[in-house]
Amino acid sequence: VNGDRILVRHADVLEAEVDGQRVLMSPKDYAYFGLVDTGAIVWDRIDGETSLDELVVALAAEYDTDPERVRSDVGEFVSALDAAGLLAER
Amino acid sequence: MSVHADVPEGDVLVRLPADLLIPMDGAQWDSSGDDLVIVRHDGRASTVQRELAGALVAVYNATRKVEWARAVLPGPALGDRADVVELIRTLRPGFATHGVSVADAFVQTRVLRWSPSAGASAGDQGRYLMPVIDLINHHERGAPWGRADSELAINAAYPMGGSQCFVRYSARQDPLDLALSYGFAESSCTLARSVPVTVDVDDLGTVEVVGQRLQTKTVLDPPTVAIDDDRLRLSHVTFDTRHPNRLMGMLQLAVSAFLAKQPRTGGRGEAADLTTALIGVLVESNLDRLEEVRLELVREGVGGATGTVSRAIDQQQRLLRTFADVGGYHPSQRAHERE
Repeated sequence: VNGDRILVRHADVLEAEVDGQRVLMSPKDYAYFGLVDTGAIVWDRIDGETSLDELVVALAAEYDTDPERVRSDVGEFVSALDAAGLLAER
Repeated sequence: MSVHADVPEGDVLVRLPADLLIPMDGAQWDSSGDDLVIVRHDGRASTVQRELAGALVAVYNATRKVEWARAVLPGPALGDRADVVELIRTLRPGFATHGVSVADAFVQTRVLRWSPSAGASAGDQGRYLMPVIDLINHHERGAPWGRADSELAINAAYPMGGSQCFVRYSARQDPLDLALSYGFAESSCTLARSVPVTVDVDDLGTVEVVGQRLQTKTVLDPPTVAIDDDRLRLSHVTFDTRHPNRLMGMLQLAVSAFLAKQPRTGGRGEAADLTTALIGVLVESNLDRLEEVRLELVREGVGGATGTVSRAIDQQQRLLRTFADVGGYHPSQRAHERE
């Protein structure tokens, strides 16, 4: 995933909290997508203005974690969001 | 058969090494009169495993399992009743009776899909018979299948309060699933899966529940959702009496997506109202459809396979009423089953 990419949520994603768990619904195929742990943290920070690199740096500093590991985890999660149709191009 | 113990609840009851599990994928079974016979062992079976298989067969035959399966296990028992099979398929489209011998159908009720390797995919799992553990009966709150290193481990669970131990054969099965798969009507179930049904809800449109059986990986049990121009289609709906709000939350997302495709309506508040109405009419439609089939089966008699299935339907209806009461879901005038 390109580190310069500005992460933007798809405008038509539906979101709900179901029995304490956060769930998204993709506008692409209406598939459910569960947000847990770090996935929920990353999703909350996708604001349409922050790049992937900026997000990685912020998370690595905040959680005192190796930036390369954060990059790997976030990159994997962003790829899953892309595949599910939950992100838009800016 | 049953197993009783005084092991403290939650402690290990049985640990069964993998080399005592009896591989079944390559085995061939048949029946001779009312006896079960092993025609061929799985090629991987050791001498000990073959001896254990022989011991299990002796137990099955002593307890007349083939005779029971022929009369009560719906697959083989209803094999020559196409009319009844079609009736049951209106509730469970996947119910099949063809091409399965009474021996295979019975053995299928005893096998566990498992792998000695932790984390193996479903495709890498084999079918095994389980000496000793085979004797433990099912209960919704029985012990789940566990693993200790490469051993199959079962903890002690006494959901009935006495000394009898129970194991949970499979998670998230309802009374109809258990009746059709295992041949018993179970009262400990806490959820009911919807039968195939199509309903109309004013201000929403047509909603179809296909009634598929999907292996879900999460407790939220998400259906596969499809939206046509005029129809919301859900692969399945599960009425969980312990967590009625889960269905509300999951369906409300699907209803919201459906509304978004229909410019004449919209708004999350309306989606909540429409979802409540939808769930109410789905419950009512299930009750009606189940009652139609139950009455047909009762005419066939209260014994044998039809009796087992009709008692399971009775349990299914009880669960649906409990779900509606607990969740406050009752049909409204804006929703009705489609003829």
